[in-house]
Amino acid sequence: MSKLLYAGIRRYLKSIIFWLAVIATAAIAVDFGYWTRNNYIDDVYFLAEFIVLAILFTWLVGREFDEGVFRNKMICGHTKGTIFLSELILSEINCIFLFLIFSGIFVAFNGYIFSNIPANVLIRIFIGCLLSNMAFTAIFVTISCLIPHRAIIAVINILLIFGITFVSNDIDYSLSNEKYNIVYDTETKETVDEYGEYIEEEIEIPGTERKVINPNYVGGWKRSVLKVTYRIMPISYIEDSVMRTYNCFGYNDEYRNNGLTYEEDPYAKFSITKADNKALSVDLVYMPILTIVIIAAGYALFRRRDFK
Amino acid sequence: MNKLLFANFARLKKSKIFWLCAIIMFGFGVFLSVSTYYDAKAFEYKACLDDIFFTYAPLIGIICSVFISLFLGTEYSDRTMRNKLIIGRTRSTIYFSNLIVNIAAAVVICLFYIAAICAFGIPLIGVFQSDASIIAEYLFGTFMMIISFCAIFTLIGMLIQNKALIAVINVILAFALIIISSAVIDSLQLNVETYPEYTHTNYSVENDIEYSDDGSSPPDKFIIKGVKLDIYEFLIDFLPMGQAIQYRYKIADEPYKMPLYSLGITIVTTGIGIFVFRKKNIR
Repeated sequence: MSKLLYAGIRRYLKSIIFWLAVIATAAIAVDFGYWTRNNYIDDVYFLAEFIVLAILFTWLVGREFDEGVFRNKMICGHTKGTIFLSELILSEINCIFLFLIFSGIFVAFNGYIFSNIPANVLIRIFIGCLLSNMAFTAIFVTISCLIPHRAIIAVINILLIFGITFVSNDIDYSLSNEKYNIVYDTETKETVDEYGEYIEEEIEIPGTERKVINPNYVGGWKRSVLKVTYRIMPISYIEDSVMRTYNCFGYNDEYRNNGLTYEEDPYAKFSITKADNKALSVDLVYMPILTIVIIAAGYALFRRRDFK
Repeated sequence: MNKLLFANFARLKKSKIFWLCAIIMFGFGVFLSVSTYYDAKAFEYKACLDDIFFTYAPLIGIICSVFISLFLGTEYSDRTMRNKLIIGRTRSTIYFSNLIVNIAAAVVICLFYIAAICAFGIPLIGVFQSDASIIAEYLFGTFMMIISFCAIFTLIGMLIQNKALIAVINVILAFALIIISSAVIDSLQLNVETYPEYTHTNYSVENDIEYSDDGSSPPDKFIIKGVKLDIYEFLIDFLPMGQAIQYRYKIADEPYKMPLYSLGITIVTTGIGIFVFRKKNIR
């Protein structure tokens, strides 16, 4: 295993694709940091980073299958399990390295806000985002190890990023529906608008409000399943973290030009409810589930795979 | 040319990825018809075919990017391109035959979606409510848009010799076009819907201070005006994915412009493609 890892690290360091990925990550992080400082935090930059990871692992791991390197390693006496695990460990190390570059540059631009957020919240968000990246890496590596055609791996990996994001957003939307809607009886009244013209307006009748069941509400066992599915999705922790810290980011020129410090910015306040605070910790437990399942499935399938 | 076309169509008929894309689009059509029917029932609203008919427009961009990458990439990876040149086919003929087959395949994939909508959508949710002329105009527009998508992806597929790289570039390009077009359309909608009193028609800029009709200055940077507004409006009409979203939601202000832009994109990309392909050193 150590020989495989050593050879892998040397191969990565010599690869142009790896250094291109480092440059791309740094460029995305600079844009992300600058945009966040001047506007607001936007999770679309994480998608861009996932695309970089997808291309990197499609190229480097997919090539092993495509060019018969897996077969050569087996001929040298390495077991299939060791080969799979070595590819996974190398890719995860790479992922952590790229994530450190990404987050380091982001902090360089937006570190001033961290005095506003409790350290334990920051650490949990950092770990959660790192686990998201590692989960995506596990998916990409597993697919790259199991499919022999690099073009197909590339298509599947990139589509998966958008697919997972779409499904995650859809589940989040379904879960956000309230159980009841408040409805009022209405009456039509004729009023005169500012131009002196008669217009008809629907006006709610006070005292007639009542609760009706929202047909969009998902309840019962379906809700529990959706909740768990949402929590194990690799992108959900990032989306939730962005939402929870949204108000903290964006030290606008408007405030800077008016001589206000960040602490005096009336909107840049961080607050977290007890439920959200608990969710930040609970979600961290759910995050690795998908990674572990994928690694286990990948390991089992890779060992049964027939290599030409 | 005829022989190339015949051979390409024969390959298309046997292509797994083509049939997979066609089945996905057919399945999507069935799913959309059934889910719209149940939604309309649950929320007690009247659905019509117009709501779902043009949903294929944004989706076909992604499908085309995947299909063309894998279908054309094989030409290089299996050395088919080189063999075609060896037996005396000109590079222009090879380029055109590939483009024609890609367009035909994309149209057929769309027809699978339309067939599903007609088979399941019409019995479940009824027929169109818009005029036949509007539907025909949109249908023509979307087919021109498909041609422009195919022209762009064929250009990339013919100029890059690495199948995996073609796939990466095409798929990312398709999603980048969706993100850019959605962002531009969102900005324009926010501009008009949220702050209608501050649209570009009723306020002026003097000494860098913006005034509206009622004397107050516009609220913030969300307002798009002047050259920026013109560029945004041009972009959503020009970009194939911008057109696709407009067709999907039927929000096109000037639908007659979009097929012309598509035609322009097709001519320019094909022209560039043939020019570069003729000078390309093929392994």
